[in-house]
Order: sequence, then structure tokens, then C-alpha cells
Amino acid sequence: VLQTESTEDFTPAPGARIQVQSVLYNNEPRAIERAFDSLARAADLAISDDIVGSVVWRIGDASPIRTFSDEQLAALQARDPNSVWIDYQWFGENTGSARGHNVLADGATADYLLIQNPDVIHSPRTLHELLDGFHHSPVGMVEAKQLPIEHPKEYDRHTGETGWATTACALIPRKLFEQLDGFDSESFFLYCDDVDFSWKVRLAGYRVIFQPSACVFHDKKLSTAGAWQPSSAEIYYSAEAALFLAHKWSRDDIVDSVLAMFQGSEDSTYTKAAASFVSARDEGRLVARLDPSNRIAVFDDGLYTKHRYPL
Amino acid sequence: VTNQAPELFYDNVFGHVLALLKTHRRPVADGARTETIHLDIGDADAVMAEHIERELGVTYVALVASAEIAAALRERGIEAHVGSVAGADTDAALLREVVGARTLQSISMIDNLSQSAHPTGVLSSIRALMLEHRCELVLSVPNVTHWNVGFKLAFGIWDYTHEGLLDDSHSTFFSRTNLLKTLTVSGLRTFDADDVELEYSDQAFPEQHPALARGTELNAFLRQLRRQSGPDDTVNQFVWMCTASEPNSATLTVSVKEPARPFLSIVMRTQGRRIASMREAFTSLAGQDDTDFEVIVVGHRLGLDELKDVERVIDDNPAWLRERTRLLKLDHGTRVTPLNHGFAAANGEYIAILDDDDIPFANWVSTFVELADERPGAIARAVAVRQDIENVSVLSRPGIRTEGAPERIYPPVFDFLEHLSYNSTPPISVAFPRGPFHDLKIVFDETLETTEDWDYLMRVAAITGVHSSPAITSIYHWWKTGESSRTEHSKDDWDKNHTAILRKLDQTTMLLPYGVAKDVREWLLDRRGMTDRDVKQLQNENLRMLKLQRVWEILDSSSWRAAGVLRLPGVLLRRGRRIKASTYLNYSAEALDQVIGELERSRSWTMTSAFRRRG
Repeated sequence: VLQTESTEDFTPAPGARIQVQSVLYNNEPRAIERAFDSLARAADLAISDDIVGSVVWRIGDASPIRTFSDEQLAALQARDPNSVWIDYQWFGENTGSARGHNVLADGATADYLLIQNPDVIHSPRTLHELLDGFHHSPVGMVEAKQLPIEHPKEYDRHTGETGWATTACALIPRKLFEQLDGFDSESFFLYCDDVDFSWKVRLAGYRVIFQPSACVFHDKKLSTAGAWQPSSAEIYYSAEAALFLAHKWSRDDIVDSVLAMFQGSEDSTYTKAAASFVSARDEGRLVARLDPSNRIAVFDDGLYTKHRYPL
Repeated sequence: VTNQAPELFYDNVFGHVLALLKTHRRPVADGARTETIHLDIGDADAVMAEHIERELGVTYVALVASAEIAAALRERGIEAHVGSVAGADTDAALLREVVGARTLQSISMIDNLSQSAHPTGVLSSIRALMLEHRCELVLSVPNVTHWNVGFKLAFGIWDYTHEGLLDDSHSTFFSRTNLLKTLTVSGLRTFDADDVELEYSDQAFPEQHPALARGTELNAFLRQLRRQSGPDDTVNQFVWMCTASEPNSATLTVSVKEPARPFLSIVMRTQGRRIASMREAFTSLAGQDDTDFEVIVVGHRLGLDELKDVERVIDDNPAWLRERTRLLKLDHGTRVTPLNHGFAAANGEYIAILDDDDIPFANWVSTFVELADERPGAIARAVAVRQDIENVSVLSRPGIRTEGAPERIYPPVFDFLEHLSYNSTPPISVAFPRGPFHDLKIVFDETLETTEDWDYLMRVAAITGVHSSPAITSIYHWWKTGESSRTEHSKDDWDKNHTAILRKLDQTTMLLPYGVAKDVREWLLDRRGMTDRDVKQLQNENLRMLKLQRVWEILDSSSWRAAGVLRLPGVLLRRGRRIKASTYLNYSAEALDQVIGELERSRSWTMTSAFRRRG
């Protein structure tokens, strides 16, 4: 499927069926309730306008303990029994996001998969705005803008075309997701699975669109100095993913320089990430390489596409 | 009420009552004068008697408390009856007996109502008579909310006097609100008023009490607050003209229990032109950790299309958010008017401004809650970051694009002194307690076209103080392109408003907030240190200016100009160029000394010394 020149038209038909899917990990139930309310409203409006036919929210719970009991799930569903059908499963293990989403997508029959963080708040017309992107074929992925902190990556002001899409909230045709074998859970646990998937979409000849008119609220905190505050998990898994991504997308030069930098770091987070990659490499666990001519992938000082401003 | 020997003057209560009666008098035929009467209830001195007969052309009839008083009045040729209206069943018979078969033109009751423990009964009895004769009542009632009484009470002083505002015979004390309620319950409606104003009442003692004495800071501070917080600070007596109407069942007392309020009222101004950013603002509200808020959208001068767009944004929201959002439409006023409109409609304990292009983080409301819990009643202030945005249209769908990282340019703690010069608190970063607006009537100044939020912030901060959190809780957006208050107004407008606010601050007596004295002291010490350096610099500069002036004098002197022919290029510092004073503007004092020396030694100068002596 990869590197094909012929693309499919994923223009939505009226009454499109959408499977929203989220992987939970120790999220606060109250945050999920707010997210459900907003999704239900977006679904309600899209269904009323016959843009969408049905919406199911498939939730995979990777937390050590179930986030929702059956009673709590019933209460969550009761907040709006008509617009969104909740389909919850407890994984019983921490799958990470890539594998978790693959499991959730397995057996799906919907026309589109909306990959999203479980706590994002939809603006009421998010589904309208995201689906609209697929009217501009060939499009393989449409991403919503995040609030309050917008991702600073560059996108075309008119077409929305961008290097990669975050899956904090992004819509993908289910068929394309399957054709591309979903997320690469062999290489990625938490981060960069979306970068990798976006690049696969582009490699297959589709555009990845950033649509700012579709906005979702996905809360972030800034330090009191106004700086971005990544968690230690974010730092570790981002570092690890950087190596796997560079390898997969045929950039040995990046692998070498990043590996050397991480291995020489005084921060154990980075040495640990380097060790993880080396061990996978030594054990022959690295996946097949893509894009040997470096047409798609961008590695720009730790960024995977051009950014408009540093954050 | 304070007159030792009561007389009617145009500016006392009798004069005011008479003025109202004259304004609303009905013509009386000459032949009917003796059959048409004015009934004055309770004035033992019948101060208005002769004036009423002469100026209104009706017969003055007094109803007084004792036979002795009545006898004295009769000696003056005044018709006087004995009795009092006390709200009893016998009132009606008494009043009918006094009036008899005559026509009752009007009734007055001056400073008597307060003596009754049942004022509604008294007024109801009078109303019955008013209905029978279709006549009006002029009522005068001492005002217990006069600033003299209020300020003394604030310091624990409550002085009864033999007569006056706190007459020891008073059983009921009236404010404007009570009096209005009492009239309403009694079936009376006021339609004209001519209140007696007294800057200093009979309660203005002890004269040297700091709250009362005219020249104290305490007095100035309290008076400016009292003046703006409500009417009647200088009203000595309410003098109201009333007509009979339907009694209303309003209760005279107020409930101690406050109505259930949301914590926060969020006032959002919109002109309906920023729908994309308004959606973002609402989406951010839908993601708040603490949802104990209501939203008041004030649509200002919305056309039909804009109105539909705004209504749609609101209607699109999830039910819980939609249900706590109100849209108020406003078609008049400046861009500041919607703030007053929104604040007036706010039910919340605190009120925040969220413009339709700003973005709160999830902890925006919850941080305000924490701050208000820690210091109830103070302004709650967190930190906003600033970020540039602009409109964008991707695949023809309108959206908002950020253009630059969020910048942490506003200080983490509110600095009162700094804010006396300029504002570093965007409106989205504060929540105001409701009291200053609703209780003290501190409203936004609608004469300001810009920076109205700074003006309001300072006037409230000077009273409530500000409790700060360094947490970043919001994004204050600046439009890189497109219309905003920054682009709608010229720099001149901004400067003008800035100056106006500084002037207002300069004219205000303020409390120095807790801890600020230390800041002032440190600032003064620092300033003194700087002044020493500044003084040296200033002295140097003055010296330099004197020398520059000397250069100027030489070059500008008629003798120098006259000697032009004598000047030879190259004899002075600027070889080969024409010598001009402006050449030396930035020269140091030492360099100027050298220039002056050379000029003075130059041939042009020495040879023209004759001119100078004459000049």
C-alpha cells in the first residue's frame, strides 16, 4: 500500500459513520464527562445536519484499575443516550497509545476513525469542520486545532496542508487506516506514532490537513515563567521515539547524532532512551525502513516539520 | 427639623413643601376659597399657614397633638384641630370630621411619620382621605442615611437629639428605599420630589471627629465612596409629593439570606464580528475544571446577521453551558457600556471579563475560586500570557491562527504602585468581587474610549486590594491584523485616555494597601540614590547647555554674521565646512569648551569685537 501513486477519494457521503476512539490512562472521570458532553453536542449537531449518521466512542482503558465501573458508565451514557454510543473496554495492561488505538480500531465498521485524547473538549462543530476537509481529495487525515496552546507547526494558510498531524484529535478514513496498518506499535509506545502515521499517509499520496476552524480544548499548563512544561514521561517517550522514527524513515545520520547526544547526556532519561533503541537494534527488533530517498520525513533540530515559532 | 424658631425659608423643609404644593396646585375659584382647605398634620408651629393661605388661596387647617397647641394656633387666627393620625380605626372619623363638607385640596405631613411605630397604618388612613377628595400629600421625612449619621455610626456613635435627624421621639427611621417601600405598601405613589439637602446636618458633631471634619483624609476617602455608592448622602429630609395608588404587598424587611449565586459571572462583550474566536472562547469555557459560573454575553450594536451568528454560537454549546449563558442585546453607548450592562446583570460572587477573542486555560475559574477563598472580597488576579493571532481561512473555513509563542510579559504579582503609572493586568487575568460594582456603585467610566479596564481595576483595587497568583491561567490575544480596540483608536486617543486616568488617580484619596508602605519606602530610597546620580547628570547637562548656548550666541550674533566675509574656511574645527551652531548639539561640555575657545580666538570674532561692544 505504501508509496502508491493512486489514491482513493474519501469524500464523505451524507450520514457518515464515525468511530471516536480514545485510550484512557488514569484520567479523571470528571474530565471524561466534560469531554463526553462536548462530543455528544458535536455529534448531535452533525447528525441533525445529516452530515453524520452515527457516532460511537470506543474507549480503551489502559489504567491499572478500571476508571469507570458499569454504573458509572451507565451514568456517563445517560448524560446523552442519543448522540454518542459509548463502547468501553478495560485493557488490563498499559498498551500505550499506538497499540491501544490499533486494538480499538480492530473490527471497526465506521467510515472514519476520530483518534483523540480522552479529555479533549470539542467545539460544537468540530465534526462538521473535520469532515469538510475530506471534500478536498486526496486527503488522508484532518487534524483539529488545539486550545489553549496551539501546536506551532507550519501549515498552508489556504489548503491547511501540513507535515504531520497530532492525534490529540484527528480524523482518518477507516479504510486508509487499515490500508496503512494503523499505528506502528512496534516502534512507538506513546509519542511520534502520529508523526509516523502522518508520514505514511503522505507517502501513500494523501495530504495531511490542519484545520483551525475545527478547534478542541486540550488543556496544557504553562510554568509560571510561561514555558512549556513537558512531563518526564513526555520527555522519555519523545526521546526514545525520535531514534525509532529516524531509523524507520531512513535517516542514519540523525540516528547517529541523536544517539551520540543521548548517550553522552548526564540526564538518565536520555541515556535510558538511547539504551532502549540500542537494545532493539541489537536484538533485531527494528521495523523495516521507509522513504529511502527522504521525500517525506523531515528532521529539523528535533522537530518533524517546520515550526512557525518556538514553543 | 433643626430650626429653633421655625420659619419658612425657600431652602428649608417648609419652603420645599410649599414649592411642591405651588407647582402642583389646582386653580381655586374665588368663591370657593373658604370651602377649599389644605390640611397640615402635626406641625405645632403651623409655619406654612399664612404662606399657604396667601400663595395657594386656600384655607390652612392644622391638626395638632394637644389642645394647648391648638389654642395657641387659634390665637394666630389659624383653624386648628386636636388629634393625631396613628394608623388606628379612629383615624378616618377624625380626618373626616376635620375636613367636614369642605373640599380637601392637599395634605402635608412634615417630619411626623417617623414618630409612628406603624407608618403604613398612618399613611393608609391618609390615603383613604386622599381617595375621597382626589388630593395629594406632601410628605417630609428625615433621612437616616445622611452621611453625618452613617459615618458616626461606623465608629459606634449614635446620638439622639431633642429634634433633628435622630429626634428622640422617632420610632421609625427612613432611608430612601424604606420610604419607597412604605409608600408602596400603603398604596401611595410618589410623583415629584424636592428633597432638602444639607452638607452638614444637626448630627455633624463632634466637629473634630476625623470622620466628620472636612479637612481629613478619612473624611475625603469616606465621602468619595459614599457619594458614588448611592444617592442621599447630603439629603436631610426627603420631601415627596404623593398620590394614591393601589397598595402593593411588598415586604418592608429584606432577607438576610443572599440568593444562591454562581461563583463567577463571565461577561463577554461581542460585536458579532469574531465568530471564530468566540467559538474558541466558549470551547475553552466548556473545558473549565470548575464550572461554577454563568456567562453573560453582551451583544453590542448587533445587526441581524451578527445577532444570528452570536445566537448560533451560544445555541451550539453543550446543554449545561447553553443553559447558563444569557445574551443581552445593547444598542447604545460606547464600547465600555456593555461592561456596565454585563456587570449589572451579573449574579456571581465575582465577575470576570472574557472578551470574545481571549482564551482561558482550564484552571482559569478554579484559580479565581482559590484566590477568593484565601482573601474573600479582594480582586483575584492570576497571570495572562500574550499571544499574537490573526484570522485565517483554510479551505474557505474561517479560523484563528496564532502567530508567535505565548509571551509572559505581565508580572506575576499585582504591584499597586506600578499600576499607578501603567497597566500590566489584562482584563482576562482578574476577577472582580461583585460588591464594588453592586454595593459601592463603582462602574466603568464610559467617557473613556480605551483602557477602561485599567481605570476600573485601580478604582476597585484601591478599596478591595488585590490577591495574586503567579499561575498562568489565560491567553490575552493581540490581533496582528484586523480590527481591535488597539487599531480602532489612534495613539492620540490612547494617550488622551491614559492622561485622563492619571488625572482621575491624582484626584482620588486612596487607602494604601497592606505592605505598600514598605514598597513606597524602598522606592523612595532607591529614587534618592538615583537622584544623586541624576543630579550630577543634570548638572552636567545644564552646564553643557550653557556652553552650547554660548556657541549659539557667538554664531548667531549679528557681529559674527556681519563678519561673514572675514571668515576663512578651515580656521575652525569643521574644516572646509560652513560653521553652524547645530553642528555642536551633541558635543560634550569639554568639547564645547574647546569650540568656544577656538571661536573666540577666531579672526572673525576678534575682528568684530567692536560690534559686540555696541550691541
